[in-house]
Amino acid sequence: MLVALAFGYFVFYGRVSDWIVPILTLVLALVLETFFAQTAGYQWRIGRALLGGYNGMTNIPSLNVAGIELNGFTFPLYFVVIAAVVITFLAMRRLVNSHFGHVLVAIREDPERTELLGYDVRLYRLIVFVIAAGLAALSGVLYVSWGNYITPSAMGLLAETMPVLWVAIGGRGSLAAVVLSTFLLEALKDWLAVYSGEFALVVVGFLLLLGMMFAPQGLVVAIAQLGRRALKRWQE
Amino acid sequence: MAVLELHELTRRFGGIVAADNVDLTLEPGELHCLIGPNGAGKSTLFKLIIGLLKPQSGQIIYQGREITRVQPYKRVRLGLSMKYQTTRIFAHLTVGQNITIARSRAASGRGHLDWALQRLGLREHWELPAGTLSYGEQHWLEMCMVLGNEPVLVLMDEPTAGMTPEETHETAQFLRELNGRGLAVVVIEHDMGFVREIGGTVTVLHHGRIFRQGTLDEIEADTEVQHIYLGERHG
Repeated sequence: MLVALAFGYFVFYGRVSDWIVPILTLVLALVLETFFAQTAGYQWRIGRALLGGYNGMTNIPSLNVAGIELNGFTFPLYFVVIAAVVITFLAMRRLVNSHFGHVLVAIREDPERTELLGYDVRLYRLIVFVIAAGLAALSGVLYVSWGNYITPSAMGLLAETMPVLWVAIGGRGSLAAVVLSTFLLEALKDWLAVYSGEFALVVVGFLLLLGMMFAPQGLVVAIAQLGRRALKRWQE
Repeated sequence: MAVLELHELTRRFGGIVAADNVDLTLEPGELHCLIGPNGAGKSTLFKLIIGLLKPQSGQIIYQGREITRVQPYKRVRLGLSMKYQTTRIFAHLTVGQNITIARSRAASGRGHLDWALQRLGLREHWELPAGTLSYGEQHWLEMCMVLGNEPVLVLMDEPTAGMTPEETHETAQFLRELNGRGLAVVVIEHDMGFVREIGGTVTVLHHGRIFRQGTLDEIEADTEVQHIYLGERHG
């Protein structure tokens, strides 16, 4: 989050053009990936933990809360993850429906107009960026607690792209649609990965194309709208 | 003390001088019309005042304080406000949400916004998406929104563009009443009938420079002003 704060400060307060921001974010992550991939020697360590270069950090102990170990072999972690999803979802819903959330929508629609209504658009963008980084950090902690290892590929191009796909296929106007599309896409990917890891990505790419061509508001949102319309007709 | 003073304000775009050594003083509660042929630099001047453009040289003094390098949102918090030439409202949000976003929590309650909502009849459309309002009503909604910071000085860039004659007349009345509440109002306008209706001081801008200043009668009688307008029309 501190890295995001520093990076966000330069990007947003430097008034970098809107479309450059995601590219810079991507580049930062790739630079970090490359950096961590070369940390193979003993000189790269934080305390006693080796960074481990391309093989990543291994044997990371799981979280331990009040004597209950949250690891990938038992149930407690599963419930913690479900709780995290629910709490995050509810918190985000509250945020989006608050005055702060309305200002964010205004910024998305017309940043200059919003600034001329007296809002410091740069500050709002920075706050959102840092919140996103915090959520990413939370997911990172849970992931490591589950698998006890992490490699630099967790910040590679693919890992960077998937969240964008979840949102694009789900629909950026609906939190629930994105949660649903994330579950479905990851399940689909895992299911197809049994046959071939790359094959799954081809299918996801195809879905993205379909979504952009026929349902720019998001596939899940479009299907939900169709369903609602069908239900109405059926009731009549 | 003047509410706004511009000193030798200059802004160039490549070889074009959109604002050329502009000196302008606005008194508190003044009603001022800015006219001039297309490309005279009227909108540029507004953008310099609100801070969307930065001048290459010159000074902007607001209520005795220099704001030449102050960020736009801070100028808005200080009591400046601007309505765009083309309406820029949040079309997908409701009228109510637009107003809620526009209403500053910090602004002291002079009540201009609530008065304007009542006066222009926008409360009746509170739940409607702003984009479904008629063209004139969208202009009015934006006029209300720029009062959300309870401003001292409002800049209105062609507030009646595309309005019906009735709406134009209504807008002129509204701006006069708004000015009567103690706000300084500056209006960019092409429609001379409208300028006559709202009255006030008229400044003619030409090639980024202040060409003439006076009452509308004086301006209209000025042969050189007639010449720049006619010259423009005949190419």
